[in-house]
Amino acid sequence: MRAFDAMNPAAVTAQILLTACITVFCLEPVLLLISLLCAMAFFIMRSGRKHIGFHIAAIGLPLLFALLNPLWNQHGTTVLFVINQRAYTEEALFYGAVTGLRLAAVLYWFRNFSDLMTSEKLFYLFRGFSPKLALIFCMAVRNLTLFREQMHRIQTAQRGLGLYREGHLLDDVRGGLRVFSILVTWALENGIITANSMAARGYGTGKRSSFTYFRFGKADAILVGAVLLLTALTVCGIMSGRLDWQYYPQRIAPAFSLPYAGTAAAYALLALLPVLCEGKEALTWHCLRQSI
Amino acid sequence: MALLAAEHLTVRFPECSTPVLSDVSFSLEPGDFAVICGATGCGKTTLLRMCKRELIPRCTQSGSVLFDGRLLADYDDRTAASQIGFVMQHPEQQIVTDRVWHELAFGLENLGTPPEIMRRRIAEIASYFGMEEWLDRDPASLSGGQKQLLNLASVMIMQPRLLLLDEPTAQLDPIAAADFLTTLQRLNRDFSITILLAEHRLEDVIPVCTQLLLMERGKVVMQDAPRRLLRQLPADSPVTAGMPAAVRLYHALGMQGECPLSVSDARNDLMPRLPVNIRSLPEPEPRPQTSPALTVRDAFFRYERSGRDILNGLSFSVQTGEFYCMIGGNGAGKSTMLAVLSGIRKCYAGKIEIFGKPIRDYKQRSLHQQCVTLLPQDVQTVFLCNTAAEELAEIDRNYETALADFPFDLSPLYGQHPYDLSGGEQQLLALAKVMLTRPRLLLLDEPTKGLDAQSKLRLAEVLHGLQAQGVTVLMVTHDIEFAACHADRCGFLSRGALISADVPQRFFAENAFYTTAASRISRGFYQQTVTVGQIVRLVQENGGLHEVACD
Repeated sequence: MRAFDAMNPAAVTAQILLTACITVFCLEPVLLLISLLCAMAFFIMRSGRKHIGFHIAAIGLPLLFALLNPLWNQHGTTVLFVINQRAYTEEALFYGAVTGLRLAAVLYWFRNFSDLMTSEKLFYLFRGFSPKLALIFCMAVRNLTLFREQMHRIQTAQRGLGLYREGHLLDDVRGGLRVFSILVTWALENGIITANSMAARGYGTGKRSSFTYFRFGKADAILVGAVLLLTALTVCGIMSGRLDWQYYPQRIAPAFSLPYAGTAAAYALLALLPVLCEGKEALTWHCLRQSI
Repeated sequence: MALLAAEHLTVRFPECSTPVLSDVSFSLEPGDFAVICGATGCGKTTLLRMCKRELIPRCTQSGSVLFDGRLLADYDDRTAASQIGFVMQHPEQQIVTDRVWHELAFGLENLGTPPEIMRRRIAEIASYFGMEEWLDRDPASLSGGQKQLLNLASVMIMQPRLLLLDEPTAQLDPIAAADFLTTLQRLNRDFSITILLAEHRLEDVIPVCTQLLLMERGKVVMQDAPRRLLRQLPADSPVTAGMPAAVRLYHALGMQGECPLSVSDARNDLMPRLPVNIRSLPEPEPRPQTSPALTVRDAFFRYERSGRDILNGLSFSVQTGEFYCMIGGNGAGKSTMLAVLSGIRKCYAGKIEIFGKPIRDYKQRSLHQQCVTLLPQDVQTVFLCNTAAEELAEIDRNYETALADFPFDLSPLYGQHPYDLSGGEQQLLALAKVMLTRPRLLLLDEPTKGLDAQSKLRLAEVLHGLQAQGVTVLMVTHDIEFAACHADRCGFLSRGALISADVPQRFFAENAFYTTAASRISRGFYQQTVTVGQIVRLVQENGGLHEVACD
């Protein structure tokens, strides 16, 4: 099995989106905790000690959520203290913590998703829906970059000519507008060249085929199969109602049962798939290197 | 049978009284490497486009273009698109996608090629062009030369039989241009691909081409093998100025016999026939000393704190009224130097004085108003308006009186959109706009890039005119021929420091590799002759050419 990053983008997307979807739609602290830990583990596995700022934000924001929720949420019966003549209840605090947990888990999953999915992979996925739209999308992204660079170049040139007065707001605004208007002309001119270049290479002469370096291999099939199976198991477990928590007016946890444990295990396995792929890859490498 | 042939082709654009092409006939055999030369606006681009069905402009046409014996219109779409490849001038704008491999695949995808075949073709072409390393990269991160090679490769991947190229090296520096032309030559030699190339940069390409087409005002006036054609070239032809130094020397001396094409031809056949009683011209008169317009002492600059020094102890000075050319290879720090001198960037150590006053003491506005102006490499970035006249009025409402002594009459261009002008005209308009801010020190970044020989001469005239009005000019350039002909002094910038500086005559005579073609031709025969004009003058000092008989 290859590392998770090298799997087919469709398989990767299926895993992350389905895991994240379950996280979004269920308010079950155990599953949410599993989701958060797995997403975090995978993120740390890939980026190491970098992105401390992201960790702080992704953990801090939900904490704030938890602490603030009781301030405007007056449900719950166990009063911890009174603030501004409003009760600060334990149930609201717990509920805030659970929603915060959900937020943190989703943040980590989407961060992983955006790190994994380069524009190339997105393009590959998008192409499945509409090859034409995908090409337009890819060209638009490219042109935006060119547009921004040219804007910077024009502004520098105009500064070199001494056309902007230092610290003169009106000048800046007027200058900005004019730069934008000439940029539109520039973009149209460039568009013609690009269109010519496309036509010269046979664009629009019939049905296009489409090339990609991504393949859908056996490993990808296994991964997608596992993702679908585990998702189905988890969803069934959740639908059974054995995992429903009551938050208000009093917090009542569902009784421990086999379906509860089974669902949690299935979801844990689903969320752990990326870590397992990476781990297995690292282990294989380690063994192979030992034999050199 | 001819692979490409035009028969009595006449092309008229709507609302244009004179035809762009009139009664053009020519033919290319399979395996020909043909070069079209002619001044800007003579119809080169239109002729090339008439040979590529997808790019034929909106026009009325009589006569015909035959590809492999059949009318272009008779081919089906996919054959027409794949068999004739077309590469244009602008490296960046021809690229469609955001990955090198995808760009290579683009043409094949359009043709509906199955993925397995595409995979193989991409691997093949990447290895032939040496671009395996960059397959996964974003084309925006490539250099201009690499982008243009990518454009060529993404056309070649469709396995065309005919390659049409419209000034593909105009936007490249000399090294990248030479690389590109070498690749073309290899394609021609290895696969016998027929090439039709429109080009201003003739020094490298004339010695290797097999056919030369000479265009004037919409007509192909001559077509022949280069040696034969250049021998009959009228001396007053507008294309002569753009020919290789060997050819210009041959014509300037009015010689007979075989026309030399390259430096080695000229050294072997032409130079031994010249008189050598006097071997050097008198030393050039030193310029009268004036106060320095610009002094740079030990300037250091880097873009990032932990980066490397781009300017690395740069020291030099330019005198008031001087025309100074700074030459140097890619990454020598030329453009960075201009950014620092124009106040856009600030050096972290060293001293820069402009007209005797440290650059830090100028407030942003006083530096640019009536003192220093930078004309950037891409002159299009100077324009913001819809017509040339508005462009000038933006700086000075009375631009017509202000430009009365501008050494070129721009009034015919006033009504046009700046983007519609030719490269040379854009350069002059930008220069005029810059001059309206009344700079005393003019900084120019590669102003000759993409210009044909005529436009370069005109630019030089304008610059000399400005110089006569007391403007100091500092220009950075790759164009050593231009520097040798027109500068008062040249400096050689390498790794952010000035290596040497001198008057061009001594400067280029002392350089062995980084020097002009004329200098390389005359080395060992004459001393300190670095331009064709100087060689001709020396021959005249020797009493002219006495050829006994033609050999």
